[in-house]
Amino acid sequence: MTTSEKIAQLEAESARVLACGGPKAVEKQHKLGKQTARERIEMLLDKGTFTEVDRFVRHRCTAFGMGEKEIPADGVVTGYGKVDGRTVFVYAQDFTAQGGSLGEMHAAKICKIMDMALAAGCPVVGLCDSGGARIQEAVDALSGYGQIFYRNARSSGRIPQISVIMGPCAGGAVYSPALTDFIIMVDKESQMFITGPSVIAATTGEEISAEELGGADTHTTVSGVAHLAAADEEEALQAVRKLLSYLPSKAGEQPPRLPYEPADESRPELDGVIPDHSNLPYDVHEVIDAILDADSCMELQPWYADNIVTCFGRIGGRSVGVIANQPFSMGGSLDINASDKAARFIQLCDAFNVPLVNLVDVPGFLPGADQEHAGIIRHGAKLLYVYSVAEVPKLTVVLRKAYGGSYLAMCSKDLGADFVYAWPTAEIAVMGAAGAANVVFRKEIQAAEDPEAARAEKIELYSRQFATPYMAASRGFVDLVIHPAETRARLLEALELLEQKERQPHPRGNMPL
Amino acid sequence: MDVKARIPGTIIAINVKAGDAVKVRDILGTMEAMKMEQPIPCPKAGTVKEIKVAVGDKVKSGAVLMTIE
Repeated sequence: MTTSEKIAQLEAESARVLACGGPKAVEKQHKLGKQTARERIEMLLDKGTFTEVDRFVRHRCTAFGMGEKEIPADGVVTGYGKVDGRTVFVYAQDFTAQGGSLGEMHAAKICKIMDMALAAGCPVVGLCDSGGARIQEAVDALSGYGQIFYRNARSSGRIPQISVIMGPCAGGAVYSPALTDFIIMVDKESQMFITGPSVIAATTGEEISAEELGGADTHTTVSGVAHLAAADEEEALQAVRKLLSYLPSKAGEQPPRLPYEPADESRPELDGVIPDHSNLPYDVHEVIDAILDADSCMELQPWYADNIVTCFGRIGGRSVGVIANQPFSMGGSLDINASDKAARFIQLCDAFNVPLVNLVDVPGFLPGADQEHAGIIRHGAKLLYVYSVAEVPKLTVVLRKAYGGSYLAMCSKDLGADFVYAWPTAEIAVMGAAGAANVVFRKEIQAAEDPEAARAEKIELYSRQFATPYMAASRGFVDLVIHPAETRARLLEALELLEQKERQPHPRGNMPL
Repeated sequence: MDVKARIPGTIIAINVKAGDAVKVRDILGTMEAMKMEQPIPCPKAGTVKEIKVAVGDKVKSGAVLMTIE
């Protein structure tokens, strides 16, 4: 062969692989409203930046007539490219090639990309669309999954890992995304479950559709498995790009900082957020929107455990992670799901140098036998644990209620908050005024001629004396009592002040919680 | 689908009646729980089929408040 023939051979071999599973399979994928793996990678990355690795990898299976079977790229496209000019590694399972099924070499390609990403200190994005294990490859396929899980866990907290579910993801396959930092599901075209509807029907007789069992809606509202549901593939991939914008490429680096021009940082609208009566709720998003840079908020798990809000945002161009009790939902009380949701988010922020902003209006941990029996103690403990060990800047603003153990759990001074601010509306106390007055003044109330009037009087007395920020401020548990309007300016100042905050170099994995 | 109480409390307002068309996150009523008024958001678009509680009822967490079709 001449040199030019050899070059032509490279082109021909490439063209064969670039055709994915062939025109028919590609057409079928498109008819389902789905893009091919290669089209998705193009959509994800900056234009023209993708470099493919392992294009010519081929499976080694000979069982059940597999020897002759050609599976382009072995069902997964892998490589690297740029997002906003920063390198990311990517793999995309190709449903048009043998259903994107995972065999030995398919898994080896994913592992190689993960190893390269860790060595280079860059994020990994996985686009999942696979029928599952390639049965013909038996334990080799199984081992492939195991090797991916191992790498997901070992890379956790060192480089960001994002999974986008764009088709089926069932059985053991679900555990790779579950070990990554974020799961984004495309609505109506993706499902995740350990055992599918047919197995459930056969074993328990329970009838349930795949969508109801493990669709995007289920996993973003009921199970909390996924962080975001996207209306379509484009929206899902844009969300990946946006998520990456808040994070550094690897642990130990600072997140990207956007240019910011100092302006009037006063936010007078915050003076009117807290209702006069403490039994009235409000939407904590009003506070979040006012303290963050315009249009910088990206909320995660908005419809799951919405009694706590977790979102990324920016203050003066710097990335922050906001954790806020939501009085609109369950009074903002902390339950098992809220504790787990917040704890994992805090852990993630700590791993990737994203400062924490904690907005506190919490009446307590949710009472009830359900919660106690399901282990609110061990779930709530995660929140205390991650806040305590987190070494990123920790800024806490007490907006209103901060009672008892839940006050401590929301990053109080005692859990290492660098700054605790309180609004004049703050009520930092062991419990709410009504409960406290009933205990403290029990005898007086019982002995009174009109116990109800006495009770009301004592509640008022207790509120005036203790349901304020001043008791906590007198002990230094609150650093500054501030006007709500100056909150953003104070946070900006603190972030600047803590820019060089020292951190112990201990490994910070983002363990699934 | 059932609209359930997410928290134990007392029903203090019901804003809809059987036959009303509702959208996701419409406020179907209000509960008092944890000494706080709590809106009851609509989980799914549809029509209110049956209201199973009245103002003043004390409900447990998970109690069915109304059904939506």
